[in-house]
Amino acid sequence: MINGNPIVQMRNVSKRFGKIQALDKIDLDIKRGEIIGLLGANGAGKSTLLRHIIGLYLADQGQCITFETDAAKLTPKELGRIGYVHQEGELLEWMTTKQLIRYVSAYYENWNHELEEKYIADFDISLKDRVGSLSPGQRQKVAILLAIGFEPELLILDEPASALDPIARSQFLDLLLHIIQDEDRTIIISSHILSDVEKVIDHTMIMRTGKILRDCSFDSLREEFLKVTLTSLNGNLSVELPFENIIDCERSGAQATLTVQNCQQQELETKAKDLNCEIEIRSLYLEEIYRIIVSKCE
Amino acid sequence: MTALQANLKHFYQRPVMWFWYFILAVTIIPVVILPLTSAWDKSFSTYLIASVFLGIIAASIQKEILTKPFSFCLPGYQKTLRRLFFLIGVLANSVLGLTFIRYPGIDLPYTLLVICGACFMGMAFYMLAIWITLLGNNTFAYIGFAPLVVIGLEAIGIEVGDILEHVIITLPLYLIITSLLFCVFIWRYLGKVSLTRRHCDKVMLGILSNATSKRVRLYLQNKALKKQSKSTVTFNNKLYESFLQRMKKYAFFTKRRYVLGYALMLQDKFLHLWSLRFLVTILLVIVSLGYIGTGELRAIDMLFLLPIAFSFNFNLLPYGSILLPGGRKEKYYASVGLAFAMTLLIVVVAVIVEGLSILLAGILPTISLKGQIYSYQPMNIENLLTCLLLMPIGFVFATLLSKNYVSKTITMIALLFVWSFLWRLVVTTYIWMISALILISWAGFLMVLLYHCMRRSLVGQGKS
Repeated sequence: MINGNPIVQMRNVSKRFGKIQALDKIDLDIKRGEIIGLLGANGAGKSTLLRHIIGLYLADQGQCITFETDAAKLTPKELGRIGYVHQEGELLEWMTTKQLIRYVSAYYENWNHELEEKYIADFDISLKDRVGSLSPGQRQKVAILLAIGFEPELLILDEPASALDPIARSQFLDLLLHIIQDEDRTIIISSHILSDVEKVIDHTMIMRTGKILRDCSFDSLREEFLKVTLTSLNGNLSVELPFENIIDCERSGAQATLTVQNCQQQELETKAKDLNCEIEIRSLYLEEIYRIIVSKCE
Repeated sequence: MTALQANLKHFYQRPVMWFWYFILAVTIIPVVILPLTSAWDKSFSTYLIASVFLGIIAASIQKEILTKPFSFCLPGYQKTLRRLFFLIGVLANSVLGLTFIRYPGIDLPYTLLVICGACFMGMAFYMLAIWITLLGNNTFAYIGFAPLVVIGLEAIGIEVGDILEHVIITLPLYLIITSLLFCVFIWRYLGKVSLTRRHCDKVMLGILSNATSKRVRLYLQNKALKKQSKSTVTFNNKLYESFLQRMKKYAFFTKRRYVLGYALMLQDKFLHLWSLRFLVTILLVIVSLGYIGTGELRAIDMLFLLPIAFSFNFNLLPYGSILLPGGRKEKYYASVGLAFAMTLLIVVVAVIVEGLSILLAGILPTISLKGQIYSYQPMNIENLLTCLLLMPIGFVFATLLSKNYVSKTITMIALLFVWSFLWRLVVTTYIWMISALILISWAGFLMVLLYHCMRRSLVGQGKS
């Protein structure tokens, strides 16, 4: 359940790395219980934004508040409520997996050993191997365990599934679906595998060159963009189609496939009826929506 | 662009190469200029050292390029590689061979033959250096033994320089044939696919490497873990358990728990130290350095450079992107604690080594070599003050320049160079000043670290 009180607030946050404007006047609120999909191309600023939330980066301008504390001044108590899987996958290479898990768990009062055991069994993690000798997929699995083992209130997943094989990815999604059953948990997931992300998220943020292009609920986004397939019941379709806000149109004889924005389903159906057409309406996949939004800004 | 042209770019595109060219120029220019302008001196035959040095640099660059899988797949790269080696070798040794141009007592045609022989010998030494560099992992260690062998041979009356000179002057033709055969052997070796396969995708650090602290750490860890024996594993596990249990004694989310955990995280820095071989090497170094130098210029005192070099490479804020419940303040306290602990450990080790060297001075014999007397001299403990002064500065640079190994090394060399001049002045005239300088240096370190921990990004852009 989404609670009105934001656990992360960013106001006018900007960050520059040399000539690159990594974040450009970002304003956002992340509310408790939201499952957010953070989307964007490489270099869009996703990881930079996430690192500001946990105080690894400090803003050149603006303010970032996490758990009602300035992100620069987060104390162990607040940090103990945040789980973070980072895309570089840095771990303590010289420890064995078992040593690493014991080491990290020693920091957390509420470490869930049952969850740990279940995860190790489900994901087939070898405890004896040195972390440095693990394959990228195995490392990623260990990193995920370390981030979820203490059941954090805020879970930040920066490209968590990039190194996982299809089976592990599907297991990971199941795990996420299990985790999000706790309604108070907030998850921010940044990933390029949008087909996976769309199964779990309820909120979307789309970034491009350090700016947030869209920050809205996933449902509203799905309602905003629709794919309409019109099939004429009496020969070819007329040249002019009486629809507004058409983003894309592909025609082939008696059939046309349209992508439309901000159109009411009922209105579309009425117009199709007037044209003596059969109509099929479906929501766009996240990947299609993402492409449209990003291409509009180019 | 041909593969050869692309490869040549490696020789001038990276700034670090210019540092090595400077060293190479300082080595080679006198070797070439002096014989052309002065009368013959038998020390001129040491031009071979320049050839070896050049071979190491050329091969080190190529070795690093070979670690990139891209070069393995590049068609014809291997042939380009050996062509490049030979091109550099022939050009450099043609100049270096001119060392013998003013050799006394031989006529012009024979002088030309001698120069030719010298060139070929230089080429053979150059190729030998390339071979060793490509073959082994510790080139400098292997080649570093060469001076010891030369000293050893000279101790039993064999003058290596005279022998080389004699061979070049009296047997130039045989020398040319032998060197040519050796070069053919290396040419064939460089053409083997196994060479590229051997280096492909290996983690290595070399003179051209972009030696970030993470890369250095991974390299050292890999090396240390490979060399681990049963006893070192047991020792490290005991150390791990001891820290973990201590950590657990303190309440969750407290500074003490975090600081102990932080110390445990850095245990990897000492993985490679706990071996018998390491201790034996230290002992051998203490014994051998004690005999070199006299008075104020004693090689054994160079041991004090090690903690300083260590501090320049001791990143106090590693593993930035692993999120553990420790805020910036906790990171600061942990880093300061570690810096003090490391310094204390070094003081203790220095006192032990000092004691050992005093003990050895009473046991080890005086050696007579070529009329020179070599007696063992203990370390000068005064140098510990230099460590206490420069280590915090090293920690500062290790933190601020953690991404760049080369910049850190150059800064360290510059600092030691300046201090070597100031040191005598401070010790002889203003001894009181050193305590003040040590205090200032530590205060500066604490302030810079505080600023870094509280006001700067804890990881680099796109890095961990």
